[in-house]
Amino acid sequence: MEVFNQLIYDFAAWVDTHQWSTALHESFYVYNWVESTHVVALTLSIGMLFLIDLRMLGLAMVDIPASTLARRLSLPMFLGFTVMIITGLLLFYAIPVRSAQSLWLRIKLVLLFAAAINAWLFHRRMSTAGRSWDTAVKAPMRLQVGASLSITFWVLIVICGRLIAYDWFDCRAEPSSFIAALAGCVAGQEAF
Amino acid sequence: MKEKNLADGNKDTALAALLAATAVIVGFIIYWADEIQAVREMLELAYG
Amino acid sequence: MGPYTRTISVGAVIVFGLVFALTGARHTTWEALLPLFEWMETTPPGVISQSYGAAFALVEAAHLIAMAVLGGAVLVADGRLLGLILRDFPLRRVLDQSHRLFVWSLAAMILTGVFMACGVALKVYYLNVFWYKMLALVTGVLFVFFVRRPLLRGDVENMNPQLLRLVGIASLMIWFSVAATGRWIGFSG
Repeated sequence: MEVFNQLIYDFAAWVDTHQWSTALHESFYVYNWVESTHVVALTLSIGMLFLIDLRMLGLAMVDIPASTLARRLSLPMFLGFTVMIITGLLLFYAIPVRSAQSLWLRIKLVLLFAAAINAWLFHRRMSTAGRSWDTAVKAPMRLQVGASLSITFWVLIVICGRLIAYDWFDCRAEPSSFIAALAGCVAGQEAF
Repeated sequence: MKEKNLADGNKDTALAALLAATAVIVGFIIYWADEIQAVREMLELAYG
Repeated sequence: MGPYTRTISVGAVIVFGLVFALTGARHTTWEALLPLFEWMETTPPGVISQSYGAAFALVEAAHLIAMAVLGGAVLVADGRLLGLILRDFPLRRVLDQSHRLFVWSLAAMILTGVFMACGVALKVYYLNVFWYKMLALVTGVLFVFFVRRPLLRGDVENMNPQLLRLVGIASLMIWFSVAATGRWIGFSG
C-alpha cells in the first residue's frame, strides 16, 4: 500500500512541475470553464443513463421499447462520458497532488470502475435477453437489478465528486493515520 | 361554433408560443453576448 | 380578453419584464427582498446548511442528480422536437413521457435549491448572477407551463414544424442558461 501511495505521489508531484498544469490551475477562467463543463455534461452522460435505468425499472418513458431507448440514447450518453473523462483528466492535471491524495476521488474512481463493470454486465445480459420483454413496462429482474445498481453507483459517484472540494481529509490537514494511508499521504511530502 | 373556438384557441396558443420563443431567443443572445464581452474585457485586463 | 388571451398575456409579461428591468423598479424590489433573505438564514434548512457542511454538500449532490434527470428530459424532448433523436417514435409519446419526468425533477431541483439558498441566503442576495438565474428559472417555468405545454398538448403531428423547432430551441436556451448561471454562482463570492 505504501509503495503504491509513494508511486502515485511521485507521479502527481512530477505532473505538478508541468508549466501547463500551473497555468491551468491559476488561469482566470479556463479552470472554471473546465469544471463547469464537467458538471453540466452530467446532464448528457448520466442524464441519458438515468433515463435508460428508469425505463428498465418501469418508472419513465414506458411507452418506448426499453432496448430501443437504450440503443438510441447510447450515442449522446457516450458523448457525455467522453466529455466527462476529458474534463476530469484536465481537472486532475491542474491540481495533481491534492487530487491524487483526495480520499473522495479515490473512492469515486473505485466506484467508476464498479459502475463500468456493472454496465458491461448489463449490456451483455441485455444482448442475450431477447426482445420479448421490450414493450413490457419493466425489464426482466436481472436487468432491473443492474439498473438499480447503476443508479446507486452513479448517485454515490456524484456525491463523492462534490465532496472532493471539502478539505476535511486533506493531507495538508494531517488526518488520522488510517485516513492518511487510504488517501496516500506521504510522510514529509513537499508538494500538496 | 365550438370548432371555431377550438381553432382560435390553437391559433392563440401558437401565436403565444411564437412570441414567447422569439423573446427568449432574443433575450438569450443579448445576455450571453454581453457576458462574453465582459469575459473578453476581463481577460484583456488580466493578460493584456 | 377575446380569442387571443394567451398571446396578449405573453406580450404583457414581456412588456412588464422590460419595464421592470430597465427602470428603478428592479432595485426597489431587490431592496424589499432583503428581510426575506435575512430570515431565510434563520430557518432550519439555513441553520443546518451553515452548521454542517456535509449536509449542504449532500443536498447539492441531490440538486446535481435532479439536474441530470431534468437535463435528460429536456434534451430528449427538445431533441425530438428538433428531429434529432428518437425520430421513429410518435412525437406525442416522447413529449408526454419527458414532461412527467421533467415535472418531478424540477420539483426536486426547486426543493433542494431553496434548501441551499437558505444556507447561503445573504451571500447569493448580493450576487448578480444569482438573480439572473432566478430570472431564467422563472422564465423557464412560465414558458413550460404557460406556453410550451399548452401548445404541445394540441395536435403536434399537424403543427407547423418551424414553430415546433423554434420552441425546442428556446427551451434548450433557457435551461442551458439556468444551468450555466447556476454553476457560475458556485464560483462567485
